[in-house]
Formats: sequence, C-alpha cells, structure tokens
Amino acid sequence: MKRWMIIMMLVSCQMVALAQKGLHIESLFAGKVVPQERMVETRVRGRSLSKYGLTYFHSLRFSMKDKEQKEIRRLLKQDLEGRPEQDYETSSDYENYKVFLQLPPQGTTKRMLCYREHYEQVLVIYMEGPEASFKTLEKMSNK
Amino acid sequence: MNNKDDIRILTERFFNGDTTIEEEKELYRLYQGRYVPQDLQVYREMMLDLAAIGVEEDTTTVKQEAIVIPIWRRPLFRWIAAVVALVVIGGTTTLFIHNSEEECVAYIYGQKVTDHNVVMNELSQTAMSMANSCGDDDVAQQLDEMFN
Repeated sequence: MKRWMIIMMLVSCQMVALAQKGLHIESLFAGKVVPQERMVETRVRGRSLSKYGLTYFHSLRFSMKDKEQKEIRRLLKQDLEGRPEQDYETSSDYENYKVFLQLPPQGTTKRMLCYREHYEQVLVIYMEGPEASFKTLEKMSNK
Repeated sequence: MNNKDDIRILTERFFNGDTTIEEEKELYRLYQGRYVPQDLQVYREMMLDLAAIGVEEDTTTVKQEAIVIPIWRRPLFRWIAAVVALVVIGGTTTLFIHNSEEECVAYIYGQKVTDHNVVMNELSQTAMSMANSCGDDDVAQQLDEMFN
C-alpha cells in the first residue's frame, strides 16, 4: 500500500512538471535559454482557469538577445518540423515573428503554443484544456 | 446463630450433600478460622484441602476469562481498520493530487508571486498582448478556423 502511494505521488508530480514535455521549446520554459531572472513567468493550473475552458496556462514574457533569438527560433523550427501545415500558422516581417501551433490533443484536452516576437520583446504561451484556442486568449483578455 | 452453630450445621449439610457452592465456600472459610469445635477438627484438614482446590478452580476460571481475544486481533476489527486505512490513504492521495492540480504562481524577474489577483492580472495582460498581436479580426478568425 505504501509502495502504491509513493508511485501515485511520483506520477502526479511528473504530470504537473512535464506539461510541455515533447516540445523543443520546453527548454525555454525551463529557463535554459533565457535566465528566469530576466523573465515574467506565469503558471496557472486548476479552478482559476475553468471559466476559460482551460486546465493549464503557462506564459513567458521577456526581452531577448540576438543569440537567444537564434536559439529560440531553432527550437520553434524543430517543433514545427514534420507537422501537418494545417496545425500551425507562422508569419514574419521586419517587426514581428509569430507562431501559432496546435498540438495533437490528449483525449479531450487541446494543446496550443503561441509565440510572438515584436522586435526584441517575446511572448510565449502554452495552454491546455478542452477549449484551448486562439478565441480563448481573446476571452481571457476580455477583448 | 454463631460460627460454631454455623460450622456444625453446614458440615452436616455438606456430608448430606445438601450444601450449595456458596455454602461450601462459607464452610471452608469457617474451617480456616480459629473457632472450629474440637469434634470437627478431624475434618479441618480435608476442608482446607477442599478450600485450596476451590481457590485453584476459581483462579483457573479467572485465567480462562482473562484469555479474551484482544479487540485488535478480532477479524471484524481488522476489516474496519483496513477500511479506515483505505479511506484515509485515499483521501490523502486525492487531496495531494487535487493540490498538485492547483497552481497559481508568477515569477516576475525571479521574484515569486502567489497573489491570485496579481497572477491572474498578469495572465490577462499576456493573453491580451497575444490576442492583439494578430491585429485585425481576419487573422484571428483565420486562426480560429484553423484550430477549431
């Protein structure tokens, strides 16, 4: 019984810690590309998100350096590789670089990664939930 | 009636086989005392032996009564204990998982913030910035069509 309890605890910890697991951009969320001292990170899970139809929301906001930009774009490129075109949208111009990626759902849980560069300002959002979509972001911002 | 009369009557009843257990105990007690008539002294040794046997029997009875299965060794108690343990462990696990599924935290330039309002405000601002980044409604609509 004690053994089962320990296993259950470990499994739950794993589930909490590895929400972005499987994505290359996960190392950015883990603070391996840009130090966490230079970021504003938001992590919300549970009841606070239920009104938006989400179960998990993780965002990063920071100013990047050139070297970091290269690394981040490399990670994004790797995450987009091999995915069907209808699963993602990218746009790029002098001021902006954007990536919207719909990840394969896990059961009824949709997963979405949004990335936006505006000059050196970066915004990354990873979200999960039955209603995870671009529309949800609008709802969350009370637009 | 004094002790001498008692002992005499009870002895007679004893040999006639008319005494009750209680009366026999009383008889033994009287023979253990100092006032045993001279003519009954011949029975004294026998009565003391019988009294001793009676005490041993009583002790055995007490011992038998003392060998009662402790409550924690009874099968029913064990089942109840197992159910209670399951409920406690299940409850604790549920609580643990529930707490693991609840998170509301922001790290603002390395500073941990757990104030719900601050975190939710940051979340709202971030969502707004991302939503606004698509500029016109056409792009937003396009994204919605793509992902829904």
